[in-house]
Amino acid sequence: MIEKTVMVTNRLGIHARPAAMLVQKASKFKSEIRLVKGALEVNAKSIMGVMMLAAECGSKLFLRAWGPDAEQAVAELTDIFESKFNEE
Amino acid sequence: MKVYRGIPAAAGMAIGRATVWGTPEPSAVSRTIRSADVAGEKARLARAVERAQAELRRMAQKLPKTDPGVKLLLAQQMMVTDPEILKETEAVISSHFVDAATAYRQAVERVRSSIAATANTYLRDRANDLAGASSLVLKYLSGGERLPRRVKPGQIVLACNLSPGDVLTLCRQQVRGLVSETGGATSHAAILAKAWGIPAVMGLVNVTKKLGGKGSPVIVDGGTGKVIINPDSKTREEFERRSKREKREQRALLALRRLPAVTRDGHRVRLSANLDFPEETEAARRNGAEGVGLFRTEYLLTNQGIPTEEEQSAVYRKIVRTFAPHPVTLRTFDVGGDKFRRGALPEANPFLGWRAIRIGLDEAAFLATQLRAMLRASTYGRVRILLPMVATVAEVTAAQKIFAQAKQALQHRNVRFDPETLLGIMIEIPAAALVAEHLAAQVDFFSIGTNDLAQYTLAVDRGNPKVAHLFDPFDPSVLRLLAMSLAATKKQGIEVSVCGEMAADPLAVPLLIGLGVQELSVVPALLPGVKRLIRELRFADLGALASEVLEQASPGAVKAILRRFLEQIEKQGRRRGRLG
Repeated sequence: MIEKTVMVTNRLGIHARPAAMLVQKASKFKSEIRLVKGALEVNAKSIMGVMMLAAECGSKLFLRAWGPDAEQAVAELTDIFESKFNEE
Repeated sequence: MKVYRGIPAAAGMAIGRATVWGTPEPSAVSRTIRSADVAGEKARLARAVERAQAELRRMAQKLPKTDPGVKLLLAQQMMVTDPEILKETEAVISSHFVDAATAYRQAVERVRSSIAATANTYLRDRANDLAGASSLVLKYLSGGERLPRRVKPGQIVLACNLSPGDVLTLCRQQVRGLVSETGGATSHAAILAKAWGIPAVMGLVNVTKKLGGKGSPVIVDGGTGKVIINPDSKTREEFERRSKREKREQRALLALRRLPAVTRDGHRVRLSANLDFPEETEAARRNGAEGVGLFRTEYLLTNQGIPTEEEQSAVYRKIVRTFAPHPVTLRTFDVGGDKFRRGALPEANPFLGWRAIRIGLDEAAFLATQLRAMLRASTYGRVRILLPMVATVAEVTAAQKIFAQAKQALQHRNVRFDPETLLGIMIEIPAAALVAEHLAAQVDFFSIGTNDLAQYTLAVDRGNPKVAHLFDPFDPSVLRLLAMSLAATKKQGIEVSVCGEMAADPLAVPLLIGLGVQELSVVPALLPGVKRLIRELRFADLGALASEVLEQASPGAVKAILRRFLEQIEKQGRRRGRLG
């Protein structure tokens, strides 16, 4: 399993557009990918799940991936977080 | 016998055998399945999800890429294919042995209620998006778009709801009457039913469940909104009597369809149709319209945003082609600022505010796009372009500049159009009527909007119940402005038409023709009545009538003279055996 910590740094947090970006990217990979916030763990390929995280600006999340392309998945998803979802 | 009352949507009476029509609401009843069916239900789920996703994608493709609706539809596509919801649905199917729709509903409800409970308002709103997306899947799970059966001619249709497309289909199949649980008197569907002359009653909740058996006799009275299921013999008799009389009148009127609108002494008037939607075209032609005196384009501005030049020209082309070689008058968008720019600051006085040509002149690209689209249609027939809410000569000058630029742009792109396309203006603002002489020298034609002209002149809002009774287009003030406008057109030799409600008013028709109006444009259903009247008039009498009317000091006196005149006409007509 690959795990990485990611921070939500864009002002509006993970609202619809960032959530859609995440889910679109995650769905491209074969690996199982999860996002964890506190006690809540969701499937990163599930739009409803990602939205329910309600991750606001400043949240700390864990990205976890299992499978053949886990490393690449984590790397690309981390990029998305770091680029602030192209919002700022 | 049971009598129900709904909203009168389209006048007329009909009796026929009732039939429930269309896709019913998806059933909320849960079905138990056998273990052998589990795989099949999962497959049904997958197929329904695929179809829902495809439909959402199609809707997104129809929108301009920058439209905010596109993002919503994308999000809904993701909701519909959300692996967690689908996984849970499949789990419920396998473990509880229930049908896919029930399992799906359950899974969606769990997610929906957890979001709905959150303090995060943004997230709460997403619950609605989910509801919308999931109902699409449920629609496909319950059989999807079951193609509506054909109706046998003479049937009365009862439906949960009737889209404009449904009404069109049914009218073409000669349905005799329409009853719907939803909808209202001014809905698009109601307008269509009226245009086709099919009696319709709407807003009758649960009517589809009230039928005793299939094929029960039903009376529909679109004028009062009454729907009578299983009428007793006395009711039937009364209905037969009234309906026979109505039908006789209708037949006589329709027979006029092919005859020209010409007075007894050979004066020709063009009788055209006012169209709100292209779907009224057929009804207009059936009623003998010689062209379109006013095509309102506002319906093109929906929540989905402003249509492109391409999309607009396709619509205009179709109408122009249908009526060729008769002229079709396309009016540029006559809307308020709120339709144009979402979230615009509300105006205290929208009636006197930023609307119609004012928006067009401020947002030249917006107007130019529409003008180009209209010009493109001009190679398919005769196009006249009409500008709304003109008040001054300067506005016309500015608009003509934009018009010239639109033509140049098309020439640059090597797109053909008719360079002789006429550009005219609505006369509805008193200022325009007062300088009609100057305006008539600038433009190719006038179209007089008597409703708005009367409102602006008398400073009355028809929609305001406290003063609606003060609205009267026969007020001498309004008639004078009319006369001024018409005199100006005569002097400059340009055409003038009247497209307000007055054009169909039997009291006004002789007056308008007497004042020199060349074209009357009315709603399709009223065309035969106006034509019948015109054919009874003698043009030679009308000039004197107009002069006498213009001398009067009150609308009461005006109408008294017109009423007397009309009675004379009808008496003479009866003597000749032509009327009554």
